[in-house]
Amino acid sequence: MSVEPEVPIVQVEEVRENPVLYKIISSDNHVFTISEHAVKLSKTLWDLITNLGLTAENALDNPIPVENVNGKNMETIVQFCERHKYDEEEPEYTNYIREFVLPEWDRQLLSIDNEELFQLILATNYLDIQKLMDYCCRVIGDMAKDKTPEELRIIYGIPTDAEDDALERSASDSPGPSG
Amino acid sequence: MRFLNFPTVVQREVFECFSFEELLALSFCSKRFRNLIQSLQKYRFTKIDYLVYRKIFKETVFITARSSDLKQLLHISLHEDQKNEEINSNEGFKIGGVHCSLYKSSTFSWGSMYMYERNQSELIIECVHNYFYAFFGSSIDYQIDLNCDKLPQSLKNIAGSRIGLSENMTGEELEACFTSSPSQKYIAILFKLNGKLCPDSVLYNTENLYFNSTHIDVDDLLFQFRGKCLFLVERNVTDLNIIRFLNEWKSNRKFQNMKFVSIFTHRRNRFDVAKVLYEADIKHLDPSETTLKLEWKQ
Repeated sequence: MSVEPEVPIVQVEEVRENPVLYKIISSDNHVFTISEHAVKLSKTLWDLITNLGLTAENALDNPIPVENVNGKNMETIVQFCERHKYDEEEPEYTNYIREFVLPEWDRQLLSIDNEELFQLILATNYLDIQKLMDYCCRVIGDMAKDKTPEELRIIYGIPTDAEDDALERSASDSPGPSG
Repeated sequence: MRFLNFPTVVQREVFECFSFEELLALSFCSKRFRNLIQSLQKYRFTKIDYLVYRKIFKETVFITARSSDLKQLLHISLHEDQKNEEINSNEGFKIGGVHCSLYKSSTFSWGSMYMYERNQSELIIECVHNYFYAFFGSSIDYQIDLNCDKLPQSLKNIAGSRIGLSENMTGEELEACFTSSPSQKYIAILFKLNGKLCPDSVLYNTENLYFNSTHIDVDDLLFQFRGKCLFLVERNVTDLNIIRFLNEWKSNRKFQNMKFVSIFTHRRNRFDVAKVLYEADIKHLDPSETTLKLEWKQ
């Protein structure tokens, strides 16, 4: 990948602790290597690996194609998973709101523009990585802090009632498939 | 951020990170977004046990929502904008139709502050309450806590009220407060009422009534109350009132709903406890006579 990560790359020693590695190919044909502990954070990938019957012996010879995720997002996801592969399970939140402070490393990793964050969330949702989803949602939630409804409308791209009405009118005015 | 383009499962995940105040602010963005929040977060709204509109000063309303374990889930305050002009449509938003506008002024650690247009202090609670009732739903106990000259009369679906009477408030004026929500679960009335309660006052049918006033007609209240629990703090209560009341309650001809009565008076010397117990034929039992004790060996 040509994109330079702004966060520290995962230490090689960490990867060496676990000899089982898997190869993932992004939609734009970039190849990534990920350790077994890290890939387990993605329910989608781990289900795929187990269903394909990949083992320590044949894993590197059978790269897993992921059509819905491009190289840029996959790089972020691999970094995130390697970073958090040994984390303990998060306790269930009981405080009526999912409240936690985003660690500084992750805040840096997710300091990307809104469109990139949007795409990363879609990829995270597809790969079913709950922790990364929580962190991305926290970033989106933090954008709402101390904002007025008008500012929120701009941040989240929410059309006004008038815009929604106009959209609905134009949709109902447009001809259907037959003509 | 194209929030509305996210899959529903992602939208729900994001909403989980918002506080109730933030969800409320987001609901003001558009009808479509409000509907989305309601459909995805309705289960969270059921965690609100009660929501109180507290009006201590004429121009300010505090709104607090709490869970059943008393955790504060929402706190906002509404203040009258001292500028004598309409709220700019760029900064404000309509709430409850065309007549009521708000704008968010500031956010503090304790909650958010909203401003409303001048001279709308009577209307604002009604507009906000109607909005909240539609947004948060009917599972919440909506309550009012008022201590001011003019009381709003048009709040519907109110489950409880705590009203500090202003000087010279009459029974009719008090009665008018309950016009739109006559059947409330809890009502507390404090301070002096000018005159008597209305003969068919809604207070008599309230499930739980706390009345802390002076110069109230004790017989009126005691003998017409048809609710479950009555807490009465009144200096004019006499032992004759109590004896008559207890005898009627015991007779089972009246007060069939009554579960609990507490009467507190500051004038202890007007009260002959022994006389009350004797006249009402009440015996003080030793706790050991009324409690079944079970003992066993391991």
